[in-house]
Amino acid sequence: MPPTVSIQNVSKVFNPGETNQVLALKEINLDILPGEFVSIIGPSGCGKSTLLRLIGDLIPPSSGAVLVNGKPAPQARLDQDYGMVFQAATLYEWRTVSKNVQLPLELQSVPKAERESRAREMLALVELSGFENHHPWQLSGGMQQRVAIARALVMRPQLLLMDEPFGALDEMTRERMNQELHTIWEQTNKTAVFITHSIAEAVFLSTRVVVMSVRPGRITQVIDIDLPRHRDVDTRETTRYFELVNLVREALRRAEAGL
Amino acid sequence: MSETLTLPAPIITEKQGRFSRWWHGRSRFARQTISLIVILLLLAFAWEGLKFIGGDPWRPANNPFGIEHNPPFRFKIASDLNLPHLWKIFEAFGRESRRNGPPLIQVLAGAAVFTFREAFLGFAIGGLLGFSLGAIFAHSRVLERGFMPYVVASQTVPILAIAPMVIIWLKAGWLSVAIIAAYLTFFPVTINTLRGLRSVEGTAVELMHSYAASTWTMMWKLRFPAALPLIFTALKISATASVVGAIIGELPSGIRDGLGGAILNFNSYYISGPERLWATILITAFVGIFFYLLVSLVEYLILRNRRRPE
Amino acid sequence: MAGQTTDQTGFSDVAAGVDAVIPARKQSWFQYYLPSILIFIFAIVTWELFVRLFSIQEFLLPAPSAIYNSLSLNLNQLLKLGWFTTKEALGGFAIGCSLGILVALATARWTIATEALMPFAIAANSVPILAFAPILNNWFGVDNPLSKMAIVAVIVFFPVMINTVRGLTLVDANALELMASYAASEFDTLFRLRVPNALPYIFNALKVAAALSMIGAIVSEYFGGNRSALGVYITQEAAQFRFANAWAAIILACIVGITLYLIVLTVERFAIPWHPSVRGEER
Repeated sequence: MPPTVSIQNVSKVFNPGETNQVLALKEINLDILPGEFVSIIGPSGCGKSTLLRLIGDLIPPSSGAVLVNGKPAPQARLDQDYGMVFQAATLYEWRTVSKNVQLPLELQSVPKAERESRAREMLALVELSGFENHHPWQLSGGMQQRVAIARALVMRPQLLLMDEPFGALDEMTRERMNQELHTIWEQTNKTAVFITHSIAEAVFLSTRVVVMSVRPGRITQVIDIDLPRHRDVDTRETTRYFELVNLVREALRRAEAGL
Repeated sequence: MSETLTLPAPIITEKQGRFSRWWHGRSRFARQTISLIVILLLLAFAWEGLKFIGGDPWRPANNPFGIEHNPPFRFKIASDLNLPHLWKIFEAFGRESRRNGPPLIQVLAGAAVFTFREAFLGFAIGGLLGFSLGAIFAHSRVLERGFMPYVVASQTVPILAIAPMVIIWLKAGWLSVAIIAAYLTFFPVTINTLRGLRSVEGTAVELMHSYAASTWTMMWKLRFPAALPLIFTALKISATASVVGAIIGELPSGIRDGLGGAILNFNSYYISGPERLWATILITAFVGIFFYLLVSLVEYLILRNRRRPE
Repeated sequence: MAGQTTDQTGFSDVAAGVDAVIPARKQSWFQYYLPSILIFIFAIVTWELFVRLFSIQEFLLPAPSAIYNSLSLNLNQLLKLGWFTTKEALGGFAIGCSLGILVALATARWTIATEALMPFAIAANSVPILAFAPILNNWFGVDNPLSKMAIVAVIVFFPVMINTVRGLTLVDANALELMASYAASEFDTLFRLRVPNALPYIFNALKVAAALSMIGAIVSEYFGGNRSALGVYITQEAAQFRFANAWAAIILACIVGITLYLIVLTVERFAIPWHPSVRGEER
């Protein structure tokens, strides 16, 4: 099976040729297979968000190639092969919840009736049925982020790109959202790339955790998470979970020390 | 330091041309200066272009070939009376303002200083009044509710209508003109002072309370500094408004030493010398921009170490 | 110099401030405005008594009753004059605002154009536009309402344009990335993101413009205007020290100005019900 995401020898330089030139990413190689859930974790400024934006073709790489579903990233973006979720829910406050979820469909000129039914379906998936006609400001932070996930899923992409989607939520809400995201991933069989600061979150959700270091951003270690595919509250209390958390913590410490 | 008007997002900028790259390599100040000059040149070009296509016949002075340019069209606005040649306007600065009088530039410079003094005094009075009102309203909701509707309504009164009465009360002179200018100046300052002082809430206030700070300390150590950026925003509007106010105040008062008087004066001689009115307008524009820049400079000096509020 | 510290007029800030300091009413309308109503009554009574007790002459200060008498006596004439000037104000408002928004839409498309135009627009905005009134009178004719419309249009153009540009460009970075991730066209990004984002800024500018347009029309009539214009009437009556008449006309002008402002405010409530300033308390 071809990888869903293939990052081949990618480097990214910001402001090339100027005094404030920064080497953000250095020679990144990473293949992500269909159905995988890959978390990218690393200290602030290690370029993990940049990596995500390269996959989404929001910025071009300085060298190397990014393939999504076997296509160059720009083509994948045009084909809407992925859905994206940011740390801020980034809902348009002038649109209702349902209209926000319909936005990508509108841009693809999907007929109204189908748009509405698909939005309803996605909102049911994130357990927000009945909130279709609410406005974003009437929702809590966690609910807003669920709308953002529904919006990312509504195009039925194979790939989900998430940039610290739960970073602004409190611990309790975050754990609940982790469970929900896990359930969605389990049910829909998507591939996911997930940026996070939280070790616990990364281990709980992922099949693989990629650890990155700073200046220049590069991959220092890839840790396979060999927990059972189905995870729930009890998973967080297993010995293996703790071992893996420690393993990632160690790897992060080494990355920060520049080893 | 401020990025407010540049696109804040890393949007895809692959197809940057050479010009674009060169342009963004310049400093912000250089970019703004260059663009200002370019726009002024374009305006001058459009001005003379319009005259070239649709102005009055033009015969360069002292030309040995007797060349005369006859524009194909005649637009009313582009006639020599309605849109004098730019060089005529600049020439007018050097000519005498009336028969055997001093050169126009000298008269206008004097008028500009005169009007600027009125405007500055009005700005000071209006600024102080505006700040005081804002501070009082910030401390009393009842007073705010009682007076705010009138403060807002006051700005729908055309001051030109009030000016004659102020002048009767206070006699024609630059104090009365300054008061009229202050009437236009105080409003933005009141609104933004109130908003700025009120904008401080939550933990910052609790912190001061934890130090057992008095209302007075709270005001000067916390609320006032927090309100400063908004107050400066208002002062910049007020700077322009005070120049407008000073000019309007001069009109019905019979004061003829300022720019308002000069506008009235040269307007009445428009037929015989339109370029003198245009020259006066140029100077007026200059005074307005100068005052705005002056306040901006003070703002920069005082707030330069702060993050821009947005 | 200006550019380092500021690239905005701030008009919008002040307009937004007026809304912010007149908070959403929890109490009834009457309760909320009771202090101001009391102040109004108190002020009028004191004013009237002051004028009567000290027999102040009209050319110093007309009594409220005299103003009221003039208003009711000349109401028909005043309404006719007022309507003439209101048309000038409305015409100028419409021309200036539409041009301001159109120019902003056209230039916001190119970052360089926006950046280049802004210093000029800000400089132009601090020019006392009123000084152009005599010129425009000469261009379009003193009697022609078009000359007043032109002045009003120029006065309102710059705040509207500057605020529209701000609204179109001050867009959340993530929201733009989101549009890019959908491979949205520039057209879609403009009309589904930038324009809705700009609406609150535009409405703030329109509120300022509404109040400015009536004042602009009246003041520009000072430099000569049609005999059936309110500003000309005010100038004449004031010049003859008939201040009761002048004030009656001024009050009419204020009412028109406030009405225009309230109309824009009402349209705003319907157009952007989602915006914090319209929703009230939350922000």
